[in-house]
Amino acid sequence: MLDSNKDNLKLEAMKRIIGMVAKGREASDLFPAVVKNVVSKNIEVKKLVYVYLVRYAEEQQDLALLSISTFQRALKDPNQLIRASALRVLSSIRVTMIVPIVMLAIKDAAADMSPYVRKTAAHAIPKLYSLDQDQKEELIQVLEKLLYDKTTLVVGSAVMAFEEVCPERIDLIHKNFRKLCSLLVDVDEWGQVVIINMLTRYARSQFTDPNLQDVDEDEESKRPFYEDENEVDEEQQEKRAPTLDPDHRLLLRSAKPLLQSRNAAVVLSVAQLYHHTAPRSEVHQVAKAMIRLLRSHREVQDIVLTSIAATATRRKVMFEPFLKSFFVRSSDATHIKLLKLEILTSLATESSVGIILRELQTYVAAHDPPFVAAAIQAIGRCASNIKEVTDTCLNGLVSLLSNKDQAVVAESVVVIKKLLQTQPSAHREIIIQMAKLVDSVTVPQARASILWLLGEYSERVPKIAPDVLRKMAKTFTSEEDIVKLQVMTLAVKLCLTNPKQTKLLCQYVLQLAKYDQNYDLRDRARFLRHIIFPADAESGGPTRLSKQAKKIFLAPKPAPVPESHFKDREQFQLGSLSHYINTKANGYQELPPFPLEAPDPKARDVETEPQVMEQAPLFTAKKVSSKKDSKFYSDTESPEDESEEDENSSDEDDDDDEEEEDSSSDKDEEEDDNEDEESSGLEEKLPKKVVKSNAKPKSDEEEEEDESDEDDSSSESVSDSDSEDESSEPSSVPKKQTRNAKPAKESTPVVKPKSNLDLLLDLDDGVFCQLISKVLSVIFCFQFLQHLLQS
Amino acid sequence: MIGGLFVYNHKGEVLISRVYRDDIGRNAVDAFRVNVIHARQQVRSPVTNIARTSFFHIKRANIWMAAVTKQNVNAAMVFEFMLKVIDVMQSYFGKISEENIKNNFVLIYELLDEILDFGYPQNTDTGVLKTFITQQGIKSQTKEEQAQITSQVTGQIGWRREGIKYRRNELFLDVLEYVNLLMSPQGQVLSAHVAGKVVMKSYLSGMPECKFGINDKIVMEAKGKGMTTEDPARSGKPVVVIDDCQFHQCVKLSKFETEHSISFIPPDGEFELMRYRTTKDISLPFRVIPLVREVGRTKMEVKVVLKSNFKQSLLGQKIEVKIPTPLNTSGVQLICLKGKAKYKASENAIVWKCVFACFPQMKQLLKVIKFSESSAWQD
Repeated sequence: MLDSNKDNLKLEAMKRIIGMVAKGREASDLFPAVVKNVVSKNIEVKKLVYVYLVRYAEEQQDLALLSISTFQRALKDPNQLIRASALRVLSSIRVTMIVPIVMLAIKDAAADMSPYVRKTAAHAIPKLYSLDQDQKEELIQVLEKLLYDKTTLVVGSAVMAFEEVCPERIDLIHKNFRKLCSLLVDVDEWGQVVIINMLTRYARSQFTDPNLQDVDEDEESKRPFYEDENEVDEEQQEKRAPTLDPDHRLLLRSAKPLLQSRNAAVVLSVAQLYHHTAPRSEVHQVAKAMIRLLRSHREVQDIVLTSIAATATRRKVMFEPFLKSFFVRSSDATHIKLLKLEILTSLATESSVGIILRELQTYVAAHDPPFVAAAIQAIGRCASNIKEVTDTCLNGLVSLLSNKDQAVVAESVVVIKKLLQTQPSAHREIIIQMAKLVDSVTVPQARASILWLLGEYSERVPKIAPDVLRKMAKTFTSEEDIVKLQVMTLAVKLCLTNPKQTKLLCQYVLQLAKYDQNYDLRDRARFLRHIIFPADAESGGPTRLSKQAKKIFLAPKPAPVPESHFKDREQFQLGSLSHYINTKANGYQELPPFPLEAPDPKARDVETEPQVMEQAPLFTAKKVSSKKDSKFYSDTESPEDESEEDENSSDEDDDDDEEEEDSSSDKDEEEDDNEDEESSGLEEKLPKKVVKSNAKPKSDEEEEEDESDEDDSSSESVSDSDSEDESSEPSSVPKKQTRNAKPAKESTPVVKPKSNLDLLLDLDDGVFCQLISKVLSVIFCFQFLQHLLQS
Repeated sequence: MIGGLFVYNHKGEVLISRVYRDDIGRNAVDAFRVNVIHARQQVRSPVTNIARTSFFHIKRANIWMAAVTKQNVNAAMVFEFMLKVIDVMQSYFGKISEENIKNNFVLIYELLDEILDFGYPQNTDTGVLKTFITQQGIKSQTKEEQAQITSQVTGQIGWRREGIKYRRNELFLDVLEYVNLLMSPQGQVLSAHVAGKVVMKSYLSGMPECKFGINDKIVMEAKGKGMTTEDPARSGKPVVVIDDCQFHQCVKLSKFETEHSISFIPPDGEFELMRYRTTKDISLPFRVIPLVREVGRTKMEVKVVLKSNFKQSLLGQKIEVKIPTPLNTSGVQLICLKGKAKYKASENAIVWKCVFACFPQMKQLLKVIKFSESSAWQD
């Protein structure tokens, strides 16, 4: 069919072949027949042939060369689409022989009129680079040219290529930095991600650390006294702020609107930019956007939560207002639940721990075993992190010991063990209660924990411990390995403290272990025996080791410090794959530390920009639109105090908010208690209900009709005047920004959002004069009405 | 960057495999199948790392889609991209299913070729893609049309073709809102927020620039001028406080930042203009009050009361309440005073539908359900 004259048949044949390729079947025999069709005039056929070629060219190099001349012709095609796709396929054919041809093609394409072709050229660069590393120098030259490009389409791809080919050549970026910042908003979303990533690295290497003055981790340790020291802190900030490089500020400012992007990847990369480079006082701006991402798909949620978890270990304050967003829903997947728990525990502070603990309590009743276990562990972590609640937690955990569920009991035993270790004060009752549990608990981990506890604190329960040992000795052979090990440890410890009662028992246990199947156990038994019961046949008396035995086995042990799993992830760049899997992925580039002294900022100035020169001779660097310029000026010219004040006020807002939360949480507690009493009669066991409803307020629109009718005629004038207002006082614009960063702080009353959503829609053609657009808008409005009436 | 993209059916048979980079071997396809799809215990994390190769997978319906990479990539970007791919596929041939994918091999290959170049995501806007990757093979296009397509693919405004003409200029607007609520067993609201989106359908001629205003503009404006006098109750004006919003790429973000006006050139056809979220002062449309009683070891009685909170003049339509049941439920007895209720064993839930129920304010609906458990409770 491929040889037929009709395009139809050819297309059909190609489709079948591609189908075979897709299923992974071998189709390389057909190569010659297919390659012939590369000259086909029909675009559809051509495309399919291209797909085929890319797949098999490597295996049949000689034959693939036949097609090259066609591509070369196609590269000169007047249609840019064809030029681009020819270049794309040409560069995808991985045959070393054609490297010079591709090189030439790329060079030509990089100077092409059409941005689309230039974009493809940018993509071809890394392909060629991976094919032949020797071309690097030449490629970089081309790349440099492409980086200078001002079209949004090209810039993104050029930066991608830059990252791939020569990420170390930061000097290429200098002159483009400001341009990239200003174009950032308009680049396509995938490009945005790459550019922001690159700029983060750039910022880390070019600007000084904005948080340099305060000792880095210091704030964390000061946390409890934070409020008192607020003012001091702010003073420091004021001193510090002017050191922020104007270009650094520009970067942060131009990235900020992207937090509103629809693409989660973009939002996350902005978040990581702020996390890694922004001054501490500004990082919190990204929190809200990240919280919003929690509403998106499961997989994205997972990644966002991982990022938040890592951030939260360092910047608690940032996510504290959103604590409740991390409450677990019963419909979440297990690993998301676990991540949320992780975040909740690392966010816990004295003020919020009450709420969190209550939540955790609810979780313990859930139906998801790993989740329940994690919840109990989380309680343990809260308890050891926040001293005030340790006792409450411990009591709660002890009450869990009487839970029906075996797994819950086991997990709580393990956690209690850890907690008791941190607090070796008198908790005799708990130990006794746990000792009683030995009979009922079957989970090996828990049994082992109990035995260890008994051994460690045997002097507090001198009566019970030997008894337990006796029981365990009886069942020794049927225990799990981990329990056996602990039985031996217990036996030895008891033997040292209370030799009278337990020496025989100990010997018995060791004897049993000697013939165990597990070699670990046998080794341990031998080792212990030689320390405690030295073979007196040889030395005739206690060896030095056995004299020290008491010191060896009963040495005070440091308590374990439950830590977040995310503590060590700091080293990786947020949001990258390496960060997620917590190992270094191939090609991971570490973020360079901030330089102590900023390199010369002059490098970023661009000299050759005649048009801009005329307009603004002072700031030649910016090819920004006039509006952005004005923003920039106003900030740099006006003393930094203004923005500082804003920051102060927002900080205070923060504090207020926290206090409010505190008080409200207290109230909550009271209410809760009341309700508890009321409802105690009923056995309430229902997990939380998540109510979801979506209402389609089509009917609402009918109400709006009248309004919109009136509005429409006036809307244009209104919006015009608005924009005039704003442009007339450009200096106020940045101020507004900072204030509006926290619109949520004001608790204005909200009626139903949708019902009073009134539309101001006006059509503004931009090109045509206003009159036409007015007429248009009236017509449009009329038809809009009509349609509504119909529906 | 993404090294390859695989699509499997639920059995782990490869439907589509497309490798973009040669650092991904052909055996990667099998590695994923063995380690994730056929893994003994359920793999939870969406990212799996097997021998220094990372697999990002998502599962929709019965289809697995996995992106493979050996390099350090932006994880969120990969997922976002895969979701986009699925979106695109859905808009081309409807539901994602094995059948549909098999029938559209060629199309998918073309798409993948277009939207992913050497592992770098490209323009994924469906509207644009549809103009030059067509479903029905040959479509004789005139030169002019071709020129148009190219200018669109390359132009600044990627989402709109030039020279669209309609006789009637129309614009439809839907506002969809989701109320999300988390309630403690004691009936206390833990967290609530409304997530909404504005969906538009535009049939407008030319290159219109539209402006869209919600009356939160008033709030923002007042704040800008009224300086820091933050009185929460702003003279009781009905205002909407929107916590945060995200926009379709056509919205000029820089303008939103400075002027708080949403101005955009709409793409043709249906699209989602924006999403927003509010967390303050949410009045809940309903209250669900569950009462659970355990009767003996194998029986449980659940009573659910539904209360409406909205105005009398409004109607609640197509209301559905899902009541999750334990996995080992063997039988359910339902008594329901209004609407229809049904036990769906496949979903482990009772679905209670109130078909066109008119809720006068605060009217209660009562319902008693009995389960009988097949086996005794384990705990």
